[in-house]
Amino acid sequence: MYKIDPAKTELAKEFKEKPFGPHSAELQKVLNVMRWEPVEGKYVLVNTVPHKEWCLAQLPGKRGVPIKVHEDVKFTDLGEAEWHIFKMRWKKHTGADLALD
Amino acid sequence: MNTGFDYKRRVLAYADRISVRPGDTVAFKVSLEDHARFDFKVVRVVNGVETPTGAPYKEVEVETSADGSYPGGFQRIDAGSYAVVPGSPALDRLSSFTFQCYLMPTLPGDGRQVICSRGSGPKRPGFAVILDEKGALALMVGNGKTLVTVSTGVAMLPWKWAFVSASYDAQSGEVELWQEPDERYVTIDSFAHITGKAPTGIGFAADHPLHLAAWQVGHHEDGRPRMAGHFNGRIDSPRLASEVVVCHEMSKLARTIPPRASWVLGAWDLSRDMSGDSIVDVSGNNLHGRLVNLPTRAVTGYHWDGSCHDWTGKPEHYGAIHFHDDDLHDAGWQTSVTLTVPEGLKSGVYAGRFRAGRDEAYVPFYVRPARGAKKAAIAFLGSTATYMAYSNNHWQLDEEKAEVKRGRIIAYTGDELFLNERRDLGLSTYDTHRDGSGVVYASRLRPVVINFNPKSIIWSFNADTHVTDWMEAEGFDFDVVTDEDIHAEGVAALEGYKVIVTGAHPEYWSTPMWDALTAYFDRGGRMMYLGGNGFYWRIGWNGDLTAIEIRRAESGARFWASLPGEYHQSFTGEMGGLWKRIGRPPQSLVGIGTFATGFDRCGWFERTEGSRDPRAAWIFEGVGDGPIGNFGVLGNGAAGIELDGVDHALGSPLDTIVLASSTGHSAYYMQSPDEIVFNHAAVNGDANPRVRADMIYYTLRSGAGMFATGSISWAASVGHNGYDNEVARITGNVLRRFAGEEPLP
Repeated sequence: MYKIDPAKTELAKEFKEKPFGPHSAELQKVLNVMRWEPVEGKYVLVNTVPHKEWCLAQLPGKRGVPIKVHEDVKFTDLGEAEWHIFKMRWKKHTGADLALD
Repeated sequence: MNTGFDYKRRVLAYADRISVRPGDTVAFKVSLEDHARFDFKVVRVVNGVETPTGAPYKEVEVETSADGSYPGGFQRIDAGSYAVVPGSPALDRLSSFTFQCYLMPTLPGDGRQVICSRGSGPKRPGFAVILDEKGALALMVGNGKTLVTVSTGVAMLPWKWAFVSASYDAQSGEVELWQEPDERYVTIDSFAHITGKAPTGIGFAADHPLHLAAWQVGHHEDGRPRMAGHFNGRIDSPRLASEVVVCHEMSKLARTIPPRASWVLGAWDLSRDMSGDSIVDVSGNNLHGRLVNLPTRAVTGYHWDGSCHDWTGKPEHYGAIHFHDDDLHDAGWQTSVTLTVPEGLKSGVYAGRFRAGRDEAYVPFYVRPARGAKKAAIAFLGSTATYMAYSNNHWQLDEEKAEVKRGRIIAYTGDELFLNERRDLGLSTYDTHRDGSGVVYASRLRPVVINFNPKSIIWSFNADTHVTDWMEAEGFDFDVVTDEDIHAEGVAALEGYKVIVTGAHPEYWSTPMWDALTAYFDRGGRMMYLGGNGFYWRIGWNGDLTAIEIRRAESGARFWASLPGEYHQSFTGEMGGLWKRIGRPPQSLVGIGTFATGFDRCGWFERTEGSRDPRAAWIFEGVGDGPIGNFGVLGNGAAGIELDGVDHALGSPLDTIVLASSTGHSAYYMQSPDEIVFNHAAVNGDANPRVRADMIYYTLRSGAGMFATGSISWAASVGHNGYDNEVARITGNVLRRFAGEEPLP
């Protein structure tokens, strides 16, 4: 199984520049690992103003339980939202902060 | 419910009919929360969705005699399937009894679940054979004052068959329970046989029905029975005896069809009337019953041994019904508004609009031309079967690997948040039930908050309004016809039209629909198939066309798979699944068929030499040599989501002209599973040449003509730049020619 290497920050940089791809083969592996996370607590977005505003949210992992919307974490651009979640997942999988910003 | 972001739907509605003609009536059912009245108006739906770069949302109000303000209130939905056997003198004489069946619980331990009950729940005189909170077989007996529950105390195993029996002796008060699993393991054994005591001489309330898979706990305000304790799993060969019968006698009886013994009160053969909604008592007492909320039929039963995969061949192997607590057929609401469709109303896509304060709901319906009236040259096909299949889709909510499959973070709408919390609105055929089994039926007699209503996501109904909006903007006169019309009337529903124009995704086709379209082509009819992944799954309809059935058999792009032996539809007996696997690939009907799917972003088309073929060059009049459709409101491209291509081996006419093919697809686009017989690493859009859409044109000797784009996102690009773009130009060139009298080149 592929493991995300915290030293390969160039992959993070590539994602930041092109969150919607096309992505290099290795960045694709990074994304597959991140996207394969279990559902409970998984980060998602909620479109609070159509086409204009999205909030960070988390899945409950159980049908019928409300999705937790973090209304204090708002985005006006989906690429920014992808990058925000990418950074959190990078930290979770590698234990290291991404110091690109 | 989250507090700040208000996504609650306080107005919900549905209609009894979705395809009508002037003079017909439509009964709308409306439920309100936090409001006491609503305003009703009919609107013509021009463009069902607002997008930043596409054509604007547009509806046009229509005056009807039903306009006005109406009182309303909350109307409840009782989701969950069950069977009801009406009260009868035979049941009223019941005192001592034995109930037995084969049982496959699928969620044992998930709350108290009723297998068989008589009486108004536990507080009224009656009994209930249940799985208790632990998942153990138990019998509840009550006289209205005292209620006794005797349980085996041993949890049954999920998805495993067992023989269960419960008896009560009215003289001695003795209760006996027998729980015998088919499979007994060394360390896990769910066998149990126990006896217990209940009060003696309990009489059972007269005139009460008998229920399977639920119990009645009262009545709703409108008089409908209020049900609870729904069972999840399969019941096979339920038997009711009017005395205590020793277990081995009952076990022997279970294998005898029809059962013969003086003490048999009811013996239901659940393989009878498989396509209908009744359960048939073969005991001779005629205690026939009725199924509510479409539990899944044509499922393998206890006796299935793998020797037959078609229930019509060995119905005795299919004696089970699979009940779910999230099944829903008819919400059963009271009618709130009755609309008489005005005479002279132009054929088109309409909706009832229900407004209360800032809350609103829409219920689409289609108006066809009056019978005998002059038809337009163009008919737009409302893919109502497909809209039903996707109605209230929970896929993004419940599918564990949704993000991996989509290739980007899932962004939910408020409607999806609401749908997640209002599970009683029922599921789509993309979903699984709570117990993990696939949803095979989809009903239109329930409120829909996504995929069959304006102002929701760009999919199904809304995505198709891009086509009708564009036709209206360009001044094309068109009628509408729907899937259910073609199913019910055959080719007569299409006759008289020069050209049938589809929406973005005409995916689900019944055999009568398929045959009608074939007959239409045989008579020289023309079609513009402006979508992708069309003509893909075979479906069946129930008798009154309120529900469709889908079996996800063998292969295909699907989110669940039918179990072995369950590929045949209950409604029709036909083999379900992909038309390709049935022997009628989409290519044999419309020239192209599904090649690939992908959901992250869309590509575009590049012209091929075929676009300069003298027979086809007219299609590209006014179109340059560059990329076609590198824009659009679905994934920023006209080639995407689901892609269809030409394959002569699968039936594409040998003289099909490929006008353009798509490119620019990411690694998240992959060949459809039915395209692959052995896995490999080059199934992706960046490596596989078969991950593409083919735009095609051909004619048939009958004079028929076909133009197909093979891409779901094509229609979402026609509105770009005020309809002034090459996608719209190509579509317009073809439509003008196809709608005209001149023969096609």
